[in-house]
Amino acid sequence: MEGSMTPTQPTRSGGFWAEAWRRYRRRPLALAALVFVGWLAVVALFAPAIAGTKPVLCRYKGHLYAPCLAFFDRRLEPAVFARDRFRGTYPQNLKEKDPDSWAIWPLFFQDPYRAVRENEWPGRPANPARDEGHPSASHPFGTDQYGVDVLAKMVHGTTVALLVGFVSMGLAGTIGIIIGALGGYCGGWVDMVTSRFTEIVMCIPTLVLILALTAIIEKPSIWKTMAIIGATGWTGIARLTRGEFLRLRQSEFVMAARAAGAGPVRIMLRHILPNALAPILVPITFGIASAILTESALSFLGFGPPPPSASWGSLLNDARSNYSMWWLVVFPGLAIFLTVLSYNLIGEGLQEATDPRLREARK
Amino acid sequence: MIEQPPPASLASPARPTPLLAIKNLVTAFHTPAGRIPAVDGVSLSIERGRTLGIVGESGCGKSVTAMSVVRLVASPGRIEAGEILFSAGGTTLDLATLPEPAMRSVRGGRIGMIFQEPMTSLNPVFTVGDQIAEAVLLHRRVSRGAARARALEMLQLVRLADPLQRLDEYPHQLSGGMRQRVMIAMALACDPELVIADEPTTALDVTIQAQILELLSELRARLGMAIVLITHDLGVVAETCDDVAVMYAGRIVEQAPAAELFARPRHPYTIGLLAARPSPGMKHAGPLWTIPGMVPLPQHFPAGCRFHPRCAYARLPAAESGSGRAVPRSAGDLPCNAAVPDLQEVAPGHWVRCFHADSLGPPRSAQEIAAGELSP
Amino acid sequence: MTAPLVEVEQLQTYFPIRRGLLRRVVGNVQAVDGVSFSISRGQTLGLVGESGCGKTTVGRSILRLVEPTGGRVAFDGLAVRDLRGRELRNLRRRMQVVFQDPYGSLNPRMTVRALIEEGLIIHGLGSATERVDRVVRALERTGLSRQALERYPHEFSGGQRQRIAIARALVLEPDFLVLDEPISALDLSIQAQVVNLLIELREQLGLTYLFISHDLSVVEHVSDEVAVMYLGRIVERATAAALYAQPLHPYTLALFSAVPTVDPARRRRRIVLVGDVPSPSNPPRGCRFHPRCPLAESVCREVDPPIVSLPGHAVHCHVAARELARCGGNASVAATAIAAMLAERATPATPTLSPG
Repeated sequence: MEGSMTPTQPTRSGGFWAEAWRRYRRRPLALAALVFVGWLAVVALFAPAIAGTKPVLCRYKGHLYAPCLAFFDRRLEPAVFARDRFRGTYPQNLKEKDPDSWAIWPLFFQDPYRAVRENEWPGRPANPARDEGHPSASHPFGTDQYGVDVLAKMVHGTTVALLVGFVSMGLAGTIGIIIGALGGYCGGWVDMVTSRFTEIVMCIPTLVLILALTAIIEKPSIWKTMAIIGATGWTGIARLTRGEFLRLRQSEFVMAARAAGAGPVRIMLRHILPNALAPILVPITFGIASAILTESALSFLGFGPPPPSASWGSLLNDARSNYSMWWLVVFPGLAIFLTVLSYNLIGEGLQEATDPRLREARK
Repeated sequence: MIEQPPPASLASPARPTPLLAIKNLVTAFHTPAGRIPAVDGVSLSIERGRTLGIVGESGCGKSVTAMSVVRLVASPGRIEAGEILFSAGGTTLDLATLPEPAMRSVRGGRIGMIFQEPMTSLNPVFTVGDQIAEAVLLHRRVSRGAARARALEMLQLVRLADPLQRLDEYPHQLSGGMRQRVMIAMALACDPELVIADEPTTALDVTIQAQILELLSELRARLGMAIVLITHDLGVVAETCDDVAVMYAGRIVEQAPAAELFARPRHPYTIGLLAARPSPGMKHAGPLWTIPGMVPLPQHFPAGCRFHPRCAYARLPAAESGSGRAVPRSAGDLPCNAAVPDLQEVAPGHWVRCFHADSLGPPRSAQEIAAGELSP
Repeated sequence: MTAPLVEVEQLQTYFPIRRGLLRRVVGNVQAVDGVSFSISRGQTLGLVGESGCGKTTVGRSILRLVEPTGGRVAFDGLAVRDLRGRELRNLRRRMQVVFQDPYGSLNPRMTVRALIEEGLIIHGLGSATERVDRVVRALERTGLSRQALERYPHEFSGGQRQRIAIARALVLEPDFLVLDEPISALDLSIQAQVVNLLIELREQLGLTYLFISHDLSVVEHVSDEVAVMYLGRIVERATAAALYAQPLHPYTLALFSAVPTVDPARRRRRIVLVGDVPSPSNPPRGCRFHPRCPLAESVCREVDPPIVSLPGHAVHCHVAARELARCGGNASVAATAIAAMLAERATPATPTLSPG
């Protein structure tokens, strides 16, 4: 039998994403951006272990506790400490109430929500406030007008920033893909309905809508803000998805799947979606950057979650009324800038690594 | 890879300077995956007024050769070695090293190009007349009106119906055949001495192809330009070209006047290609003759003769004859996997790149091979 | 005589042209307009024609990848157009397709194994291990090895991808295969390999083929019967030998003469047609070929040509009908006469301004 039986390339291809990753790796800026975002994710995940006033792990009266988790959710604070009247001050209370106790402390003993009091940590003075709070050895990023340490605020703000990005874009992506896929694949009146709906939502000015919704909602919280950003930011994704589905619906491999007897659901999920995903991820990535910016803008304008909250935008809000405290602008501003820039670089790198047309131009 | 001196001109022995003489052209692509030698030591010459057909399958380098002549090779491709001597109007230019501004005046002005895809080679936002006039204005100092008149003249020359109306139409309003005629008009607008046609009819239906080939022959007879026709269709070459060069994996493997090549092919690849086509009107009793294997990727070009892994005649050293194909070596035989054969002239004007071109027995026609006799 | 496996009667597939905000139908692209033929089990019907003639649409209409708008399609006695849901899906097991583009017909994100196995999964055939066995068997039948299983389509050459596509079509063990230009996108030296493979598989598995192509020589080699299409209609149909020896329709003659041939002995006198193919949304009245036909007469402009059927040969042409009547149904005499008339009227030596 003629015809060489082995594939033409000696090394196995790991598939589309493996190849895309290989191409992505070649761009140093995109790679650096990915590393930066990865580092941010680590910081966000371990925020309470990096900066906080509660022990990461402690042994108290014979049991192990992790009070630092309270920073993620207040309800996670072990009840025993409330009963024993710690009132949030751990270092001395631990030693006094249980001499056998030990604790692993966060890297940086500062609280993102309040100023650390005198001698809260044995031998340390209270946090300076106002203009005396400029960056110093004990407060690398300075303190805000109330004496709350800025570095701690920023570390915990990282969690907020990344969470906002992923949650809101996750929501927007899901809604956008579903609506776009239905419109693009089904065509006809389904397409007409979904397209008009998308266009209507697109016409609404997003920031104004968010402000209005935030004003109406009784208890503004970061989650509600994320939900609103997600619920309004899906239109671009829907349009793109619709275009991809329209295009891919005509491909011969989809026709081949129909010839084999595949139904619409199988075709949409197994055939079209994997091929459409790469271009859709790009605006989603850009959307993360945009969501972070939006949240910062909201906090800056005072519409974010109420204090005490730690978000980069809220620091900028504080800076508005305290012009002399330059550190309140520079550090959060830099952080926002670098994060948004990184996501944009990642999005660009992703686009170049996955867009077949750009790839062919390089050949 | 150093070539022997380029083959003699395929026309009469008393050689006038060929219109285009390509000598040892090497064009390679430098990709992240490595250096890919798309054209690896190609030498050709084209006489005034004659048609040369360059034939080969995908990846053989024929299009890159044509693009190299007009220096339109897409980056990361580069002409690395060789000369492209264009002798027209009393001077000889080396197109490989000509400075870009001078090259621009050659492109379109002295050498016309016809591309494969008339859909995409014409700019969709300009009218047909504008595009032809642009070609004229780039190379001649004439007024816009004169350029437009020339465009009309060209459309008449290529037998486009209602040429006056077509001048102001856009490419999407024309059919494939009509667009290709427009491309030909553009290529000829400045009276070039040489026209390079890269697969001009591959994208067209066979009846339209017949029209276009007919047109090209007629224009050649009328205007006397030389044509380089690049194609993978052997039939097209047989019917329209004076001389033929067959390319494989970046090299020319056989070169001869067309009648001679098709009557007496000598290179195993050419023989295989001709035998692999079912002949119309002659139903074969058995399977078609095939060339086993596939065209090698440039990254994996075989050592020695690039065709040898697929060659039914290849003689390998007995030790490597695992496939049972080998014939024991006799003294003086060169193994096909060790050395690269040079082009040898086996008949007047007929050059073959094969160690065994002479010893393949009496020249066989494709039909004889297809009828079942393979071994020499 | 057993009933034919595939029977198509007056098949009609129109594509609506919609304009305006409310997407009203303003016209139709008459891609297939009254095509009838039948294919017996084990036979191969070749369908030739140029672009726009509707041959691809015929194939897709039979498979209901495109919905026909009229006519009847019968597969092994079943009325294909009436089937729904599960019945249609079951039918798909028996009719498969191989497309032209080996680069577009395989999902680039799926491994070869997933691609070929999909049909088995959809129809619930076999457990996971059984499926792998069947996939490997299908692969080996087409000349590929198991090593290909976990690879992706882009790692293969065009010819190999086409083999994968053939394996995918075969894994369901169909009776009928629609081959839509299966070798047009392949290199010359690979085309012969794939053609041989298709013929071998047909013999081994007793398959029935509808072989759609514009390549006349390959169609003749592969097919038992050949039908020539022009602008949505079949203009001539005959056994392969008869068609190539005694073509009766002027278009068929023009088509054959247009194919560039290497061997001078086989070359036909070229009949150059004037003009381009008209748009299928606005076909000419009467015989659709009349605007380009060198032998067109007034009747051709008005009346649809009748079918003239001889044993093993059918043609839709007024001129051919007349010639056949004149020589008492002798196809070869009529064919020679028509060829002579064409040679006389359509020689390229007369330099007329051609419309296109």
